[in-house]
Amino acid sequence: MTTASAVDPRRPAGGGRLDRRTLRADAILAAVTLALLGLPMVLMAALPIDTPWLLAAVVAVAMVGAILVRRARPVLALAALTALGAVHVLLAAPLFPVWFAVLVVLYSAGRFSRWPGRLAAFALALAASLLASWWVTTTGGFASPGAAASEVVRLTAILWIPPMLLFSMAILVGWGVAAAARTEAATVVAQVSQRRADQEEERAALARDMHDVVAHSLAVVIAQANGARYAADPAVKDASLETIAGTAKHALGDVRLLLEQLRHSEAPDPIASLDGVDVLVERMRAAGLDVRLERAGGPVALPRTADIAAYRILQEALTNALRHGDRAQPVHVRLLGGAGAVIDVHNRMLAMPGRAGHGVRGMHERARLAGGELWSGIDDGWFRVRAAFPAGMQHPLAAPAQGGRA
Amino acid sequence: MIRVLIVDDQALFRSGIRMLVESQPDLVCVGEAADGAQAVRLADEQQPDVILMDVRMPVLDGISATDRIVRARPGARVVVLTTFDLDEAAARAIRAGASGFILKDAEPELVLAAIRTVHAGNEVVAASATRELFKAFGRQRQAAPAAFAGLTERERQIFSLAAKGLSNTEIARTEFVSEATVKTHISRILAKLGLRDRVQLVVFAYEHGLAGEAA
Repeated sequence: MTTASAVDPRRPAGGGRLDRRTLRADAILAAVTLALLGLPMVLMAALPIDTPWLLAAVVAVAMVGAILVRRARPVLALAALTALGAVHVLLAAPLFPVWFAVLVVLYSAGRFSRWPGRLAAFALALAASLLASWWVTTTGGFASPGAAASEVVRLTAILWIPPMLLFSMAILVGWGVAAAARTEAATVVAQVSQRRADQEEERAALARDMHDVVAHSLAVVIAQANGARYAADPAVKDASLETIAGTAKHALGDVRLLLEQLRHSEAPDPIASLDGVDVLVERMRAAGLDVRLERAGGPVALPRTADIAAYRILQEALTNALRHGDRAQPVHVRLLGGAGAVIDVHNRMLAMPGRAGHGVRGMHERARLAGGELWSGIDDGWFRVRAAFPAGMQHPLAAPAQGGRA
Repeated sequence: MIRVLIVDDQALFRSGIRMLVESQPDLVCVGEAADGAQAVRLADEQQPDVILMDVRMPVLDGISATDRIVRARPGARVVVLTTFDLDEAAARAIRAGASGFILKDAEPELVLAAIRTVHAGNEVVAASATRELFKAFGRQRQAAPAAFAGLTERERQIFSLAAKGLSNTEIARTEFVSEATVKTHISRILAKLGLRDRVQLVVFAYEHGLAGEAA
């Protein structure tokens, strides 16, 4: 599948590539961090307490930098925060805001890195929460200065649980978002290739139609013109010229119809849904088809793929009626909604079935791929197409996780 | 009189060709068929000399119809009518026994000449177009079969000229022999190689790399 190269479903979507929008979002996040956490930290340090304010400034800048590179280099951001955490704890400096940056970076590691980055994130989470709980135990006043080592260990172990839970949560949320994005990307790829296949199919059908109309009509025109040139009888020549004019006129009408179809398939078609039935019917009426639409069973609620297939089948059936049917007779369309959907189209055929048929095969295929069924056939001079999409079905290509949305 | 049968699923195309055929004193149209099955039946009833055969038709296509007609009556000559000059179906029809192919939009003079040429059997219709066709859709080239070694030196010379699409008259002029001699050689060559007519000879030469690559 060549189309997959644009979006690699195995790579966490959005990772690595930095477009202007994500960069701006991160810049805002960094600015907010700096304003709300970094500056107060520096100011706190500048007060005549015992921390050198320069160290606080460096830590603040490093923290902001880590937030800025968290998408492209999640592991680097992780390493930077590990270092900052160590500075905080080992120097016992008042650098609490670092822990907020740790949460952001852990989330990023879950979201934008692969297995090694995520494992590193869990390692950091373990180390950071142990350090934090040890620090709180010893300097936060939980253990009295002269407490036994076993008491310190016990308290550290208890205090370790909340930060570990918090940090793990950050990684797991990032991971979950990455998985969702990946599924979404795979869905987009599948949809794009499906659309491309549909377009190919349509183009092939148009090429066939073009050949049928243009090549056959021109072959007749040439044969008749050559025949007339050689015919001795003036009456035969006249009849030939009449045939030529008639054939050319008919072909021109067909070419116009094809061009109309081409325009429709070129125009972005946002209403490839049974919700757009009225517009479709109007369009067909404008093209000269007497469509009688009858609805029953309430509004149609089909999964999206079935909805598109149902709409395309209806469109194809009506187009066939326009091209091959008797336009003097009405075309009856019955639309049964409710849990599933049934489309029933019948139109009066012209005496000669002609070269119809390839479109019908496409309709069968479309219905089958979308999990429905289609019957078509001739019934006493009427051409009938009936497509049924059962309720509660699932698109066969959709991933199980996508079932609810498909 | 050359008896001609016209086979095409478009009535108006048939009537145009029919006018052309009927305008000629030496040609007569003995029938029209709208599909391959009708063509097979009419070929049996009317014993036409030349059949102008469309390829894509309902009921029975032109390839199968050609196959059945030449099998039933080896003397019948089929000319395939195609829309494109590189149509794989035309190549298959020639394999099935057609004597040549012409485009549906060919000049009327060419259509008439093709009818007379395949009937006379002394020349191939559009030899270079036939080679192009088999260049596009031919099989993998093979070594010449043992039968080819059975040709005499003289026969081989005539074989390669006929493979280039030269008529009997042209071969006679090139080789300083009489046309009757050429005709005798050609029929002996066809018999030795088990080929039914000259177009088969062109295809045989092409597919076995005997066509003379300059052509």
